[in-house]
Amino acid sequence: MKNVLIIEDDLLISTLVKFRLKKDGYNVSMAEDGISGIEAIDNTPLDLIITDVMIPFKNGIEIISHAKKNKPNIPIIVLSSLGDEESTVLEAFNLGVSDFIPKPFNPNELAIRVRRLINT
Amino acid sequence: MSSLRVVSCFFTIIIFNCVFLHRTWAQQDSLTQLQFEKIILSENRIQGLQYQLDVNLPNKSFDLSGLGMKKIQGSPSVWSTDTLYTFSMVKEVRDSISTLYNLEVNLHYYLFDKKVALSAAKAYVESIIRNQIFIPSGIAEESDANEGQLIVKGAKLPYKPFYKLKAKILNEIKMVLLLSILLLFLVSSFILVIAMWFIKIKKNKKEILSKRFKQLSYGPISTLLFEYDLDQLKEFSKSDLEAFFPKKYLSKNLFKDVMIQEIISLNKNMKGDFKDKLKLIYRTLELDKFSLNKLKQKRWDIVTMGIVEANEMDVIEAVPLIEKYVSHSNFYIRSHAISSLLNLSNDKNLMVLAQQKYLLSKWQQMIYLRIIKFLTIRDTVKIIFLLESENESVRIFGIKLVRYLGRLDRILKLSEMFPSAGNAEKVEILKSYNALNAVHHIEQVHDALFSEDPYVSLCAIKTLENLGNDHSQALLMEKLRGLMDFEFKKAILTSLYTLNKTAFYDIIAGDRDEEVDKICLHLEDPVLTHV
Repeated sequence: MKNVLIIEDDLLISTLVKFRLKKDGYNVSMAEDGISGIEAIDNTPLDLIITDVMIPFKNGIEIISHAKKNKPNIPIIVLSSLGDEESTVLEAFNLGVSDFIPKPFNPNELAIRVRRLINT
Repeated sequence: MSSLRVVSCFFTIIIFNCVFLHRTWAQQDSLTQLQFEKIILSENRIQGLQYQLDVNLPNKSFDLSGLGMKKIQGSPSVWSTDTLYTFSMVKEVRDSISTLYNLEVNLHYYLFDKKVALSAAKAYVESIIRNQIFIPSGIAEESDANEGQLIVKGAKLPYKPFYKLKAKILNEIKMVLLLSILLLFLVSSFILVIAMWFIKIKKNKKEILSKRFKQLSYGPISTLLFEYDLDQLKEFSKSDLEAFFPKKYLSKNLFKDVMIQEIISLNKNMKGDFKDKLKLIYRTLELDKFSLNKLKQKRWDIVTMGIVEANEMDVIEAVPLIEKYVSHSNFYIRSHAISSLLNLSNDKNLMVLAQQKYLLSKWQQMIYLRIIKFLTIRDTVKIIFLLESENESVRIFGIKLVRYLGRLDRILKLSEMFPSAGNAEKVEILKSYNALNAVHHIEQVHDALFSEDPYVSLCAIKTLENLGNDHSQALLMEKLRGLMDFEFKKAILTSLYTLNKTAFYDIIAGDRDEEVDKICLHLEDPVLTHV
């Protein structure tokens, strides 16, 4: 079973995404802030990370940097609102994120992109 | 009553006693010779006071040595006693001499071995009595003897308090006031602490419950969104949907509030048929009625919440209720009511804005612009009513809309407004001319160039940078002549540089100064083009 980590401070969104991905047979774990997100990256075997940009304690960019430094092969999807600064999104891509999904988003579309990234 | 009488008698005795003593000894001006002798005679010894007797004998054969006297050396006829400490001894010797020899005796007083006059001795005795260093025993006995009489006299006198009643009450009132204030303060503090504690507990309880309700709502909402498609959800009745949620909480207002907030949050973050599903759940659970009910409340925050909910979930039925709030004195209610009506009422004429009496803040304008931009995707809105509004801030917003929505069809209207427009409106019109390349109205820009208002003038210079012609160059040069303000100089030179570089160098060739040189360097440096 593939492991997916969702780092998102909005618990409702992460719960919904978890619910949707579980339907596809993934083992999904959640982190509500940057620190617990980094802990999860370090201590859990992962196949994919979905992260928001604006999260408490550590921002998404720091998390992506950490993940790319320590586990460079894990694909990362950034799930963030269009309101986030363009420069931040560009920086995320420069760091090597695999995909960017703007909010508002369709969970089914997210599930398809997750499947595509994990299977490749 | 009897105890009161006893107390009053006691006070009377004390007062009498004090008065008597004061009158007799303590505060008497001076002692008479008789009183003085009575005192010194009655006392065995008065500390510090000594006596000496001497007598001048007419007959040298008299011998007074038997009375304890001695001849004074150098004066054989004068006999003297040693220093005597009690007046009784003095009296005894004096009486003996008087009886035996019928002679007058001289009495001398000594205070601490120093010879003093009678007056000084009297003053000394008076002083030690007054200061209660010495209390004559005879007087004390006399006082004790008078005590019984005083009690009888005191009992006969009507009660009269030592302090006057008026002063006593006043003192008490001050004390009562002070105590009342202190008590009030203490009670208020106590009530405040209790109230704060109560509010905090209530708030904490509400937060805990909200968290719990959120957790309880996640599961059912996820199930409904992902396990059922829209058509299936449409077939669900209210009771069918309620079966997914914990029944005992469904009637609770807080649970409904949490559900609405979660649904709205998801509605903002999701797209596709998920939005429709969320709205359907909201309606089927009759949460819309709960939101509508908020619009009838008195508290402004609840009303605002109701307006926001109705707007977010497209509750069209709320429009008549929301219309009542578009001119509300509360800024938040009014702002959200206008936003909601723009969104829900499908008012293409934007009359709700045009009829606004209140000033539109920049924050409001930003919110309304976003909604109107969204509306223009569906249909063209009529800005004309905004431009004809009596409210200047609404007219300014209308001019901005012309610019932001690229409404070239309203440029003519702007040019009609320009001559009678206020300075703030003129600035916005000039910006719109600039943004929409309204070259046909360049004469108005030329007029504005020489406006007394610096903002209008500066805006005209910047507009001419884009729209200017040969005549504009001449006018800019005219404006530049004798100009001291750096900001204006820079703007004019920038415009001239953009309009015609050759002409620009010709102009500055004959009139270079330090500022012009710096501006030229700035304009010619490609790195600083946009700085």
